[in-house]
Amino acid sequence: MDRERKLALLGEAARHDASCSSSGSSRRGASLGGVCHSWTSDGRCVSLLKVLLSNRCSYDCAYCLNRASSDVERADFSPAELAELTLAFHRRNYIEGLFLSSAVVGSPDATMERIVATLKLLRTVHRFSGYIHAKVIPGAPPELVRLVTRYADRVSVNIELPSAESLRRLAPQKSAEAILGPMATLATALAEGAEARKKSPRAPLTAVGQSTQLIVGASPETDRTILTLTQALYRRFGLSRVYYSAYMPVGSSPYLPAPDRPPPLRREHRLYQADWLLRLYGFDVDELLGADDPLLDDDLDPKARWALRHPERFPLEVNGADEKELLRVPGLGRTTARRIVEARRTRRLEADDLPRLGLALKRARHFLTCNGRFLGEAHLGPEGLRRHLADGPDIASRQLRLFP
Amino acid sequence: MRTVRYDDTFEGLLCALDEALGSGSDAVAPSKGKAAFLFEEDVATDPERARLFRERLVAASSGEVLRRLWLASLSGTPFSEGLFVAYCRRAFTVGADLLDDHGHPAVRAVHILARAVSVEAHRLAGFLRFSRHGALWYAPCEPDHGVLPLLGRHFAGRFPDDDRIIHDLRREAAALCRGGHFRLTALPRSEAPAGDDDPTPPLLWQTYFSAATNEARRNERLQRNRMPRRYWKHLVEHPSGESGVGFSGEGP
Repeated sequence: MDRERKLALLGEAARHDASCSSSGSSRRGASLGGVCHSWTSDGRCVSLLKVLLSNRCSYDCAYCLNRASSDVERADFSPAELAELTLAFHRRNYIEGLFLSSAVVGSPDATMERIVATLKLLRTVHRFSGYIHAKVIPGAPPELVRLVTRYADRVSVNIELPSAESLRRLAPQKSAEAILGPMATLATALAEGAEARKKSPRAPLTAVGQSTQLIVGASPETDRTILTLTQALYRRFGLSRVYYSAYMPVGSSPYLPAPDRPPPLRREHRLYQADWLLRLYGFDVDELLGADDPLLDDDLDPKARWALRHPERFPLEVNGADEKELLRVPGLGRTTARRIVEARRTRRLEADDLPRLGLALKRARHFLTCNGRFLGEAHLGPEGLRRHLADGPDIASRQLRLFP
Repeated sequence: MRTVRYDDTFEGLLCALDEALGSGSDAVAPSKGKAAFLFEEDVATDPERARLFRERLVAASSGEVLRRLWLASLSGTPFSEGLFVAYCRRAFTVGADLLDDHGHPAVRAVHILARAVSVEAHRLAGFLRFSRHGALWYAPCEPDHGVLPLLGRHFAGRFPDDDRIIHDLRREAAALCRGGHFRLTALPRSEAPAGDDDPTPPLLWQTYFSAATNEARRNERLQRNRMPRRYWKHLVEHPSGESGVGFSGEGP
């Protein structure tokens, strides 16, 4: 098979992996951080050559296009071939680096060995200084898992299905232990690497973060179950990101949604929004979703949803509220909250100052006072406010257009 | 009021700002040709004077203030010098708090310009496409702002072992990167080389780009928002999904 055909097959097979981050490398020349090199017409950033080393899978996970029983064309790259391709793209500035994953070919050990061999070739023989994200195969032995952290900038083990029960049903060859084991090994290895670098700037470079991916909509877990898992991953394993991927129907199984059901893109979007609230806005999953109320709203972002349920917390005074409180105002982000606090140091803010701070008050004004004067509309009432904050028809129609 | 004219370099601008602030004038302009009016006066570019002004500004405010002023000056936006005068005057009044003084119109305007310049440089750090010509790597671009110094620094640092040329076709200037450093030079449009000594990688990249596109999730508005069409012209891939060559890059 020629290189072009291989690249088409193994690139397409890897595109469902949602991670795109290329920030946070400790290597030379990565100073700008998070550079995106292109965007595909699905609106996703291309910063890495995202490919599988092979799609010849021995496992038979029901949700996966490359499962053993699937009738797809199979291909493999040799480590040398893939290293050469990565270099050619990197020197032309098509990419920041490589995102390498693989189907389980034979066994987790053998697959992990091939991935490590490719990374080692790039780093030691070609002295490649670009970014590398490597997948750790569930069930891979700890020595190999540790070795990956020597060559990669970021690593990830994909959980894919958010509960042990769903894994048993849909991915019988994988187990929760086979996934969480390598994750724990990675957490330890990354912490040791960071500690060593703190002690000596000349300590060997190691990966700086691990992430994972969850498939949304292939199995019956609620948003609350998914986000509770997410929160535990951030807190227990120190993950830097959890990615969500709306399930694209690829096969039929009594446990999978009907093949003609569109991917739940809106739900994926809401989960990302909630994820930001957990990671960066000081929210706890129990504040966002209760046990008796485990799903995010379709037409309302999670922060607006929370704010509408807590009228007693608002309105906040722009000249008084602290940054933590401001972060909880719908329509205010981290940048705008910080700007308000900074600008307040030099002068007391008047209502006229707010637009000049780059604040879009469209949403936020319903939750703010400025020098005691309420910035929203007093007569709106809870229902009117909800309508105001709900996502208008333009997002909805954009989604509908996807499925003509 | 008198207009202070300078030679269109950053050092020249610093001298003109020094002159304007000292004389209470707030009219500064780049000199294009001879001084035409009675109230125009050229200020000589004096590296020593520029250095002193730079040091005074940093001492009174911060290095970041100087950096923002420099970035904003790269934008080359006509008539922005008045803003720079007001910006510096404010810097000498409020000091390091200037960076947080988002309510002041000139401060805000200068910060917006600085941000536009650094955003474009950051974008182009991703969008530049190099082709190989012997031992030389060449990338053309047509940026809105004069971002060559920022791109030169980025690529000189990233590929210290290579000889690289980044060519600003609009300004007919180039950054030459070698040994981890770069310098700027004039380079006419007509000097732009074509093709690539190894035509296979560009073709493979096009193949990969199409494979990476997920048709079920088409969202062109988001794509254009992140990668405005004016930057498509010098890409190797075809972002619209059309596989035709010579896409003009001008959107409807």
